Amino acid sequence: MFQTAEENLNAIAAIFRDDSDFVAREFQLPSGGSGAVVFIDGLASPEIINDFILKPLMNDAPISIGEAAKLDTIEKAAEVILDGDTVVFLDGFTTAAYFNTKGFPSRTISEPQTETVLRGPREGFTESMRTNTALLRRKLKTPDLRIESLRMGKRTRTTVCLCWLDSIAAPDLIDEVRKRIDTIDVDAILGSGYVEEFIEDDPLSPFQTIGYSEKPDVVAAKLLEGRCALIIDGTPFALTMPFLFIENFQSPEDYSIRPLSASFLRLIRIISFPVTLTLPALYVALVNFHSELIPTALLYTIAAASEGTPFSAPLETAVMLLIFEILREAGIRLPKPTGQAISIVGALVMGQAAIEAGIVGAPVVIIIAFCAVASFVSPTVSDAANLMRWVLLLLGATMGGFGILLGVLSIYILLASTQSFGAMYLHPIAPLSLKELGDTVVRIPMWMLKTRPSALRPQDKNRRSDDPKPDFSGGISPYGAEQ
Amino acid sequence: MSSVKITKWQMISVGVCYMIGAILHLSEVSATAGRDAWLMPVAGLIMFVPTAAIYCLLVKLHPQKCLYEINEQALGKTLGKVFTFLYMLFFFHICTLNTMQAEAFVSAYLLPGTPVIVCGLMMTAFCAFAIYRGLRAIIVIPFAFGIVSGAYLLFNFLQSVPQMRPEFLRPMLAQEPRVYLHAAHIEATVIYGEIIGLLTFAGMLEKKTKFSVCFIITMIISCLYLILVHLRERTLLGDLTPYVSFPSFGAVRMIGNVTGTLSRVESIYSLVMIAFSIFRVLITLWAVITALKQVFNLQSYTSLIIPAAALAAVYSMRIYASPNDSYIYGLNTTPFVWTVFTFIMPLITLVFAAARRLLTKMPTPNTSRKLPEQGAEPSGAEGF
Amino acid sequence: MKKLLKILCAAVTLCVILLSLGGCWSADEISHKAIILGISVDFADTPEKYLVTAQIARPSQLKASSADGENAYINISSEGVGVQAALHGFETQLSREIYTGHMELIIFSEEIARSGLTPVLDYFYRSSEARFSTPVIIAEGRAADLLDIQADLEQMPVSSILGTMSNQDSDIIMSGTTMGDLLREMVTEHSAVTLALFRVNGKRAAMEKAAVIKGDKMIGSLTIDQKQYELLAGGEYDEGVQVCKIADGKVASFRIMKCVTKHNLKYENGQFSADISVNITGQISGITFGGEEYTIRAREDLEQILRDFITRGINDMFSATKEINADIIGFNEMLRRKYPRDSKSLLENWDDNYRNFPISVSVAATLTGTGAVRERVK
Repeated sequence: MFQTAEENLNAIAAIFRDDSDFVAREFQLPSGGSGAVVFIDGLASPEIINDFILKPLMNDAPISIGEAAKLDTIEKAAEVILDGDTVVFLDGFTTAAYFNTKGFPSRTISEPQTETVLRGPREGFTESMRTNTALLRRKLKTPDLRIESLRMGKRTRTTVCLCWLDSIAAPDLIDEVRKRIDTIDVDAILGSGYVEEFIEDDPLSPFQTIGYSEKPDVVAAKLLEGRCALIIDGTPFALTMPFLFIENFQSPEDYSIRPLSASFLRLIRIISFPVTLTLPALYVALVNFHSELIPTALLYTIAAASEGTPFSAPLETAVMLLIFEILREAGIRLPKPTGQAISIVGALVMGQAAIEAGIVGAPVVIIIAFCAVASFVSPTVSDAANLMRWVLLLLGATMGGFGILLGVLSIYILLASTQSFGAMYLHPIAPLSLKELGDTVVRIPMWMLKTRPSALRPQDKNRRSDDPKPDFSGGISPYGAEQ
Repeated sequence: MSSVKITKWQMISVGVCYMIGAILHLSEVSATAGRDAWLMPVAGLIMFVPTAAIYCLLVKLHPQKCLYEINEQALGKTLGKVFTFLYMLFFFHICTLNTMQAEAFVSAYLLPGTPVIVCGLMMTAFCAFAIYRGLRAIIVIPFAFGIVSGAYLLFNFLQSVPQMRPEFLRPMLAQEPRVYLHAAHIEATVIYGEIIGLLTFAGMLEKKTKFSVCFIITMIISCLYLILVHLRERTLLGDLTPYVSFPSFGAVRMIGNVTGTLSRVESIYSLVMIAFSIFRVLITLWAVITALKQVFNLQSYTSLIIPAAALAAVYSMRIYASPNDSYIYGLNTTPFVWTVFTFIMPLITLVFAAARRLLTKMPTPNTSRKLPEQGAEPSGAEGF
Repeated sequence: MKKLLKILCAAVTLCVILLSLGGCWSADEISHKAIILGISVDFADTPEKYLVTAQIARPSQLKASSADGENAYINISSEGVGVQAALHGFETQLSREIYTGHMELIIFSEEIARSGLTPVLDYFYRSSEARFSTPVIIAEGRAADLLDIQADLEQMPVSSILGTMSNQDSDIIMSGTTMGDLLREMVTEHSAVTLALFRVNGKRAAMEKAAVIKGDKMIGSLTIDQKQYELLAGGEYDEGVQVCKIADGKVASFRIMKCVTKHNLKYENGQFSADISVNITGQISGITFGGEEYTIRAREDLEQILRDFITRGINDMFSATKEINADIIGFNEMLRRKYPRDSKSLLENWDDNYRNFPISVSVAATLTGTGAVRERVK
């Protein structure tokens, strides 16, 4: 830093050169000497700068902004104004001050598109990190919640907040996450997916080992179980780790509806996964290798439908699967109204036309349609299922039930040997922990949930005290208070 | 050894799933004992008691050690390695035998047109993949998979109950005593004897768990399962049992329609059986690989996986000319040859271990007593 | 990084090799299969050869809305020195590969049954496609004629025959001896079993008798009534009708709801014997006589009539089976199980000893209901 404001201003202007959004405002202090204020137009709030920095400075009054700090290098000054802060240079000082004047535009809090619920909070994270940490603080009003800021990306210098509950999360988990983040040496972090790929256990595995969510209540619930979260500036998706496979089948809605209904829905989701994974392969295996398993009447139907079609069953299935993937991708990319039309047109018209033209058989279309619907039940695992489905289809087409058996066992081995930040991925199914199946495969009532998942090795294992379900019988009665 | 720790129920489930995989070997016992084959698991278990005692004692004298480490500790480095190498050959033989049986079964009933070697290669490739992914994956397979498959096997058994005819079991115990002795010997050495593979996991058991408890529970559950299998065989097939290649599977083929819609459910049953057989191949292949690692003092066994798996698949084509030959050997020769590996060698190891203890006056590693409090006077029973 | 790439390349290569190995050898498109529903085996006109006729389904015609029953299947025949050779001969006539995994019926001609079933059955037992639960029947005359009958209520003759065997009243008569049951009995010494014996009358087939198979040869037949009594005596009776002609114009019909049979084998003074006690529960289903002869108090008389008829019927049945020397009930096996040592000598010559084996029958009948009306309407 230089002694005069002008020299400092020239130095920082040299960094930003002719950038049109770099603003430098020189002014004279009533007590003598000059000063300069630098900020980035669009990132800093002009109202705050005018009312709370320039006005007081020009009137010899103190600046009344809550967050302020000193800095002593021009490079640091350049960094802070890129965050939306304002730097003040004054003559006669070799240090400058910067004030929090962030006022960049950001999206308002709205319901997340990817996690809609019927009953439950509708708030979702936004692209502003501070808004997100505030939303999380509102859920966890405990001084136990730690939010540690880190920077990632040489050019983007994205702020990332590591959040955890000090008395619950395992210390070695936090150390491990920090260690992995420290190894990231990359140009840019533009989204949560970037971070995920750098820190996950098995980058080549089709199954995700780091969870993500747009909802603060979901992230808060995961922190309460002993996980930690990464909130990344510029993306509404917070990452949570460790991530267990069974979380793919859990929904935030589960805790808003009755336990029996929630349990039933969870079982539906769990059953849908093997259905979507194996149905096309099973169809091909049954039709080509194990026709004896098909009831005779159904066999006639399938045989009649296959007669006259030009392609073999595996090829038919593969083509229909490919068409479904194309339709699905088109439906996501296109704007909402058009996307829905494409899906409907594709599914109904093309499918029906293909059957009537004799290109494919009706059973194949039904199988693929059902498989597609089953895959939408658990969207987080559908990407992996889509990939594995092809492998199983290939195995089923070449070696029938034996091939599918080997494929399924291989997937099981893959899942069983995967770890997510020290937690076994298939917990509590493998290694089996019967008492923890209560909050995974089904949803037991809240008052029965006593312990946190042991795979996360939480410091405080118990969610609640040992008291049994409160017994309200004998309290208020239909006949009014007793005389 | 490995840092992986196995709990009691994981060990038991590994053992039980391993024994369930023996279902394709049971034709020898059925052929020998005839209608009393269902009693042979009990008789075989009784005959197996001395062998079981040897295994439990060996593990008790060498806690937290697997079979190969026990060999070296008891017999010395050189002789221990020789024994380990012999066990490796034995496990390799079992591995290829199981592969041969499974691939013959697949070729006969599921994929008749596919060359047998392809089935063998696919199976061993899967086993190689599982071993590559690590022991943790291998250990956690049996519990969850075993429960699901066990439930299916029970359901399958209940399906066959209406067609069972208990009169096919009579008259009981009306054959010559040598028949029972022969069958019990086959049961004890060929069927139960293979459980020596479980000793290769003994070193990974959690400290608080007793190997003998796991072993006894494993043997009891396996015995009950084998009784049910033989019972179903006999009550469904009757005198047809000796004519059928795989009697336990042949019995399932006798079941007609289920609920009037599903027929030929033996295809699903056969897949479950193959899964258990593959698990057996997996465990024995793992035993082979770890034995080689121990013999040659290797740091890691990763480089051994693919060669061992490939050798197992290829050798399974040559081990016997056909499953019929394996059946004939299994009746007459195998029980005696395998007694060497399953009884005599462990007995020699135990004798050496006991002798070593007496000669070197080693303190008994008594894990049942608590360690003395720090600073407390040691009790008079400790030490010599 | 390099190491990771190497591993990746090796893994991909391995996967490609492994998946290529499993090269669909055993795959068979369902539309390329000729689904055989039923097979009949006769002696061919050419000596030493068999004529095998197969009924093959035409799925597209079966599922078409205006299906003409005749076109829903085709019957095709081939000659060969064995069943396998004859089946192989189909492949020179058909555009598809034959598939026996859904075979629902096997028919043998009476001629073949009398000469021995083992040569023709062996193929089916060894085949992994064939089902042990497939019923086997015998045809009086040509077996192939049964595949040509008019299927009145079904789309195919095979379905019609199977339906005849399994409809409510026939179920008690022909609990469809399956291939597995037949094989099991064939390997048991001195045992006999019955198979449904169909006769073709014009374009229809009727199940009129039961063929008695001993070892692997047909040695005789039982009438439907005798078969019914055999089931009663054997303890395999489920439900059925018993019609008792007391005199001209006097017929009483009963619906038998439940039958419990007990076999008691005795060995006294060096002699074996069997006591069969049959306990029947039923309902009166029709009386042709009436007036004073029939009131509700006549229930005991009707029970007596039922008892006598069944006792006589069972004894007649035993006489018929002793005449052809067919131990259908399986007394030899019962004796072997109960008296393994003592019965050895008796069972060694069971073929001769069965003729003189004393069997006593006692029947108890209870009529629980009179149907919808209490008395006969005058």
